Amino acid sequence: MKHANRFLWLDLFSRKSETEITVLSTLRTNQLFSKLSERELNYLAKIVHVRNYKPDETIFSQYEKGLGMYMIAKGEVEIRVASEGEEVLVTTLSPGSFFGELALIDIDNKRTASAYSIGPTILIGFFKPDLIEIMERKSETGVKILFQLSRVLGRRLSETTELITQLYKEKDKYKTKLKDAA
Amino acid sequence: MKKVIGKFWHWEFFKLFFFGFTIIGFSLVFLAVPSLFPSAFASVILFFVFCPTIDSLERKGVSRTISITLLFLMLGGLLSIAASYVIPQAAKEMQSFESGSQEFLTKIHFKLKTRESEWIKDSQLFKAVFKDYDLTSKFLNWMGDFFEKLLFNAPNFASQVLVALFMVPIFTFVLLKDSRKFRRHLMRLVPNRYFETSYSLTSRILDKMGGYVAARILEAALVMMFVVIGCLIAKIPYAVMIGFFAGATNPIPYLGPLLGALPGIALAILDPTNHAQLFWMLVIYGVTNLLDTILIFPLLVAKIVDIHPVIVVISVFLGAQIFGMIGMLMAVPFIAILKILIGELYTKIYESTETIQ
Repeated sequence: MKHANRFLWLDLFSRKSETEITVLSTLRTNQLFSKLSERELNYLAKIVHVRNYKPDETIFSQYEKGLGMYMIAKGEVEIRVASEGEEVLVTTLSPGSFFGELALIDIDNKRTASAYSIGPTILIGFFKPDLIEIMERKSETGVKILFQLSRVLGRRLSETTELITQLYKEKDKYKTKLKDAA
Repeated sequence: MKKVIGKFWHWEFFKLFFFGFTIIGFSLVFLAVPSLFPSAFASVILFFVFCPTIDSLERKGVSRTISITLLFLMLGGLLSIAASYVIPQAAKEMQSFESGSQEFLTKIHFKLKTRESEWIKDSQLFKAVFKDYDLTSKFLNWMGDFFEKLLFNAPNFASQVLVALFMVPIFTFVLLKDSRKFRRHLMRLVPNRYFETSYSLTSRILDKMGGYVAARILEAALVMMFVVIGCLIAKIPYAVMIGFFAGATNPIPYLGPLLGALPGIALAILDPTNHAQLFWMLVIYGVTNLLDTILIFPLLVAKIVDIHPVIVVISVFLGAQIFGMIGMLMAVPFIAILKILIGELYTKIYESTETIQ
């Protein structure tokens, strides 16, 4: 948010609409675009898609083909996974969070979970064709985004690995306990 | 499922209706002013041709508006230079053709009359049917009527060309500058539920069309170049005209090369002075067509379109039946779009069924 406040005065004197200001401030706070200059962010703001959702509206469903990621500008989003015939809540995301970023680089990406808006929600969509357009028109900006994207995906991979290792350890612990009990 | 999409059917339906209304509105403009259609068609083709160049200039840090202006200035300059060389040559060829046309007509009349007399002498059946018919005069009269009609329509054609000369640069400039913005605004009207699918489909279709148009134009230019060079080497007159016609008709699948060969072969048949011309014309068209079939088309176009040849033939035939020449030209890209749409629908239906199972 520090980064966003630094440019607040620019927003006050600009003739940008409220939506444009919301888009810009959401992009500024997003990790994927943290290395972009103000000029690049302004360019990006013209490329992304602002989508408005009613409460409880489906953003995307599990197993659907995904095209890109969403950033939450306003409202909240529930991520649910289908398990044994019903959907289990995985997490609730708040403004500033983003989801679905794997679809940006995976060719035949299938959504691994479903996403629903909780209240009235404004999402900013950034999709594969947009990333390709940036690579074609402003390759330097595209490289910065891709680098940040790979960092995010790398971090998520190491988090997942850590979680799996922890689960194995827990499993071994329970196995030993069960053996001892027997 | 936790949430039900049906809850928003009225909201989604309204968005879908508005989206459809906008698309129909745009289509109605072209129906109301049909003379705009050729200009818009040419502009879309030019957009696909020049878009990669503009993108590459933008990548180098030049703003899009300046890139397009630079390209237009450069094209204007190149066209002026080319016109200063090509127009006098084409005019010379036209003038020579015009002055020689009377001689050609006398020759055609003589040749046809001789042939008719031979047929009447040789064939009893031909004699019985056409003895008092004067086939040659009837044929030449029909040709005369045809060219008269063509000349009668010339002012209308000229006014369309003038409209196009004025509109095409404007349409092309706007498309190159703001097409992505227009598309983004149009995508805003798509309901949330169908947004990703629509965006993915339009992106894939535009990609395919861009590749297809660029490949076909490059193919036509290469065919034109081969024919012109061949004619120049064989010292055949009207090389530029013959080459241009061969290149211009080449994008019409299957029939294009045949149509393109007609003027060259007709001129060779009618030229009384050069007996080897017909042979050389056939060699030039044959070699060009061979190079196009085994090298240019597979390397440039087939990879992009990826449609079965039988489907191409049927689509070209149907296109010609329904929309004439434009239908023939548009048949292959239309089928390519249809293939993407059907593929998406197939994946949507069958993969979702597999997921449910």
